[in-house]
Amino acid sequence: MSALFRITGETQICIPTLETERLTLRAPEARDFDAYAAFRASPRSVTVGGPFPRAVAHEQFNAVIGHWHMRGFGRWIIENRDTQTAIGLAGLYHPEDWPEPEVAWSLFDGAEGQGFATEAARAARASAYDILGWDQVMSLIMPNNTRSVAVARRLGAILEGPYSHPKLGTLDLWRHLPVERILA
Amino acid sequence: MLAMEIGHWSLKGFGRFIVEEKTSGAAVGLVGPFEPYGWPEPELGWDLFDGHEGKGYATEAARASRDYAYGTLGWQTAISLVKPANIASARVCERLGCVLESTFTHERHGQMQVWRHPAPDALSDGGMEAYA
Repeated sequence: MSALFRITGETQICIPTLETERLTLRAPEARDFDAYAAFRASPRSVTVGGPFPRAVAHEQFNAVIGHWHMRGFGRWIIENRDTQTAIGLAGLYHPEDWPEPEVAWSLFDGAEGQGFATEAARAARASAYDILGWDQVMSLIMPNNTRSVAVARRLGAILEGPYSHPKLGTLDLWRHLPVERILA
Repeated sequence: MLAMEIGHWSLKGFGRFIVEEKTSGAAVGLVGPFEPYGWPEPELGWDLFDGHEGKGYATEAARASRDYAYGTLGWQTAISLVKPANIASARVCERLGCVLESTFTHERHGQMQVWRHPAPDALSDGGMEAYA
């Protein structure tokens, strides 16, 4: 009891957990921050606007969670179920300065080359279609990010054209297969 | 960065509230327990949005959030960090009975004053004493 306020409600942030063949997509937790910050500080993060100092990465990590509350969807930590380690992020992402929501993925250092991004992104896209009821979705990729372009191609996405972002410069907008083609 | 404020709750178990003006339903600011990266310790933070200053809302909300930190979260002490140029927030600190204790330099936010709040058992206007 307080003389200064009454607690009259409580708000929950709802983040579902998904399992694919090899991966678990789950809510970010405090224990994931070191791996996330290491990726955001690494040269590889240049493809997502980095590298970022740890203090900035901390705000961004908080915002990964807050995005779920603001939009009703967001990005998960990708956990390798075999090793039980956090290996990246994937999900649906719609920051204020994006033209529309996208399927997003990033793998932390050392997790590339095993098909994890494709497996996670495919599940994220399926959640957009099956859970959220979207009929189409895109991904924004820096043109020189050849690894992510390869993932987009593997997912059957088609290069639609350039998108000029105020801070990140020219990004390529990859249009994913529409829901009818996925379900067929 | 509103999404960051929300995620803070999930990662720390506490965070800042939106302050809503009851009569209008308008969001007028943010207040509450807050511990961004690189802070010396958890603080009670407040920000009023433009046009909502001068009505005592920061003081009312910060006082309630201090009671929440002490009574609900069990904090034994609390600080508030104030930028030297932020006279209005320093006034709020004084109204809340805080004492200017030291300065702290954050790698991104620069120099800030560290104001120490009265401990829970030193409060007569809230905190543990008000729990009768």
